[in-house]
Amino acid sequence: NPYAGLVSHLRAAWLSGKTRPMEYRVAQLEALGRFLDEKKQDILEATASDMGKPSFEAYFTEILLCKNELNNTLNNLSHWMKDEHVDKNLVTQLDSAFIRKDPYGVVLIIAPWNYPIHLLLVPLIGAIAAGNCVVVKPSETTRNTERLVAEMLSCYLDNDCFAVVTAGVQETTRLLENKFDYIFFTGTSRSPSVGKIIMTAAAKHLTPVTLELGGKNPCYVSDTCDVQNVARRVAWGRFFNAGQTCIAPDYVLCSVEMQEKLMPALREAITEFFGSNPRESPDFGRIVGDKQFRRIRSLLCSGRVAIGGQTDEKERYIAPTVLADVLPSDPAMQEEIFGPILPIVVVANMDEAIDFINARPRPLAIYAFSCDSKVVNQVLERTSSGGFCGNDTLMHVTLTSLPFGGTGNSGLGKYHGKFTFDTFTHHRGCLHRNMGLEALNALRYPPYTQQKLGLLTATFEIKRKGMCTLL
Amino acid sequence: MERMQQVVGRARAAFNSGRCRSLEFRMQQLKALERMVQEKEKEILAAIKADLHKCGHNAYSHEILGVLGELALAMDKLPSWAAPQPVKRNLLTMRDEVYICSEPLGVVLIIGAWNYPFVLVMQPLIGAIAAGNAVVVKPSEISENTAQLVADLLPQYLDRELYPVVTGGVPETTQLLTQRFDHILYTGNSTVGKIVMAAAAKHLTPVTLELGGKSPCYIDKDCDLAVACRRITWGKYMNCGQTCIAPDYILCDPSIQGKVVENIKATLQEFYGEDVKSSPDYERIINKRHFKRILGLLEGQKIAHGGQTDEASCFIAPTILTDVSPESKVMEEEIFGPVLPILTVKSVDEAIEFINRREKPLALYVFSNNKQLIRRVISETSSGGVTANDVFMHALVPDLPFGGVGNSGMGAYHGKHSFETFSHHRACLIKDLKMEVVNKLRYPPGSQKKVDW
Repeated sequence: NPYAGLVSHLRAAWLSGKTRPMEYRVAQLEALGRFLDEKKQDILEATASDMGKPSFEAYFTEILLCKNELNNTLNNLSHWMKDEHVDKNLVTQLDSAFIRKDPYGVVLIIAPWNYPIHLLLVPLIGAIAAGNCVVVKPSETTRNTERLVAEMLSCYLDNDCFAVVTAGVQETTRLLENKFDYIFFTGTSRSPSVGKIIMTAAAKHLTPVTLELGGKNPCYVSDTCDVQNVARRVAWGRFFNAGQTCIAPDYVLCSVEMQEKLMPALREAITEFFGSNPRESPDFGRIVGDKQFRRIRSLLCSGRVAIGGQTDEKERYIAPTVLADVLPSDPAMQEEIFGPILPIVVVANMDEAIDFINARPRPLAIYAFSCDSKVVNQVLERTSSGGFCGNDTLMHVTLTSLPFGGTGNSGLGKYHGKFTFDTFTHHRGCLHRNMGLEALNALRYPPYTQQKLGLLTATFEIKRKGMCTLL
Repeated sequence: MERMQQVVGRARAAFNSGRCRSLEFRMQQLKALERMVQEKEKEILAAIKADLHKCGHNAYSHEILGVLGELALAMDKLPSWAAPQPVKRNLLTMRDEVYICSEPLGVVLIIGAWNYPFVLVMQPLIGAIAAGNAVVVKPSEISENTAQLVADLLPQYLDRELYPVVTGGVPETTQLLTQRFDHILYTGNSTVGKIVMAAAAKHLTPVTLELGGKSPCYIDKDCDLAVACRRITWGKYMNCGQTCIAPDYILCDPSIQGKVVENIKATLQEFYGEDVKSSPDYERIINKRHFKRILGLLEGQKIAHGGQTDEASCFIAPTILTDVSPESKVMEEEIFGPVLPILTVKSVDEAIEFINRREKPLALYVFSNNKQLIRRVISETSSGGVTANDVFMHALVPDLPFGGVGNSGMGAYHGKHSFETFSHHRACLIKDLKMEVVNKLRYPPGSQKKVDW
């Protein structure tokens, strides 16, 4: 077991209690803040060389959103850490009943390559805030970012309590043989199967998990909508990071008339964003690797290419592409696309769109566009997904007050904001009683008599309004 | 296999029909459950008595009272639990609707245990119904009378397709676990817990595992021993020690070990009289297998009190062991019987160290007049839950989450926590299609100006 030493080193640090005081956690979190400030340029460069990430995007997702989470956490940490007192029942009126926020211990965070800093830091922030020791495993696919994280994090964080492991698939499998007290995994496309492997490994140690997976996020566009705005919002969501976003709108469902209207609008939006030759735009990204490039390229033979379709293997460039008249049986509809291709699947009406969505595994996000709020609400109410955004794409995950996570095949658990802190915290029910007033307990002790039971039932008030009381 | 597929398939079709989504429907089902418990009280008590030799009073207060309370709470709070919860917005979403929507997960599986056979299926069932799910109920086959009763009663009161009961043992449960569920709540032991989680992993099904362990009980020198021992005696020997949160073993200073034994003996006399075997208030071990298992734990131990057994009736007297060694068999597994080992430690530091060297327990108990000491013990250990200066009671506060950590389990339920366990919390952002100008900041082409803003 090549990682046994590392894990036991962290476990010893955990048992020492080092990570528990608030001051310690704040110091580590502030160090992460300094990392983001001081290494900003390195982060932008690393993500640019790893996957041609436009610096505007990199700044927004890898720096700005992380700082938001960090500041939100630092602002609220003392409040989140406090014992949460709860309502008491009749018998415990004079006692202290509270939920204690205990760290789990030594936790493992596995991050993917598409937002390599963000998807590593945001869980890490919550894990540190909750008082845990952490092993972080950045993605081996984004080599420069992996190296940056491995070299830099050890300079900013306490090496006794936080470690970075660089590992490929084989080594990660070995890493998972160790016992962790929590495992947080974010996958990219095809992640449901990897999620199962992680959860199976976790089951051997009864380790709780959060799995942020993926799926095909449908985007329903109704006939009553402002086509140009829809096109812009959908295009933005689809082509951000060259489509390599777990919550990107994966495919559009709309009527044949709307398809016709959308096409010129999408064309206009793409030109507005990336110019007439997106290949030359500094704001359009590239595919992360050759394997992924070839996979996405093979999806192009679905429906017909209405916009884009150009590719360049050397650059791993795939043009912002829209496919029309795509059939459910086409390649682009068989897997999460995770690339800058937007298939449009024609449906007759909203009901058909809802049925289409419900016949498939639950996605991470569902999008619905309509000027008619009833339509948006219908889609929301009659489907299930990790999250939902009406009349826009992606934006719901930028709010730290909303939980971010999947359901069914798209994942289990949730995080962002306080939800990250809660994810890495064991909520321990505590009751601190008085040693006096023993007479009150007499009703519960044997020997049992009819009289005792009568009194017991009488003191047990089942009030329909307000609290119910026991014993 | 086919039968399981059919049962689960029917439940799923029934869920997909949408009829269990409305609050009215859920309330109706909960009300029906309440009627069932009230109308069939005699039958329920009789089944529990047949399974565990538990007298009516005990069975009523352990299993029926709690269920009625949980039902009343759920019916009272359901509208507020199920309501969408608006959350804080940021500058860009000031004019939008932002909220968390609690939605049913779909078809959930509840696997019960035999020690509190009625409440351990009913309490999760209440939460699962309240959250709008279809529920497959699998009571423990070991408490066969209660299992059969649940299988008979639920279809008489509840929607038959949405809430089927599946009976059977290990082979049937294994088959059931190959089906896809949207959540599984299992109450039982850690070994099977791992099997349940591994099966759930094949479908990426979230799980709540209510397991067990050895719940330690530290008695400080500075405490009212008579009161402490009475409370411990109540908790330890209730249900003949077959309680997941029973104080499993005692840690105390050697100087008070004798007094602890004396006090417990005196309390036992008070509770069960001279001849425990003839007390109607003392239960029996569930079956021969567990009887033999617990008997085996007594080998080579110093019996300070009790030790009498009768295999025919699965009777084991309330037993106290003293000067127990940490390496002995009785300290290796959860006792789940009326045997109370006392281990001596020289200080609270030693007690904390002892506890932390072992798997995280479901419950932890500490008795002391010293508030600081209690705070220390809680802060320096980990456990599912804690009660200080009593036993069990944290599990009876409806607003406290009830669950384990580490080997003692994952997830929690009771009261509102049940509702949340069986719900998906869906993040919702509803924007306007207008106000596009605000969005322009985020669209390419990017520029330093935009970044600086």
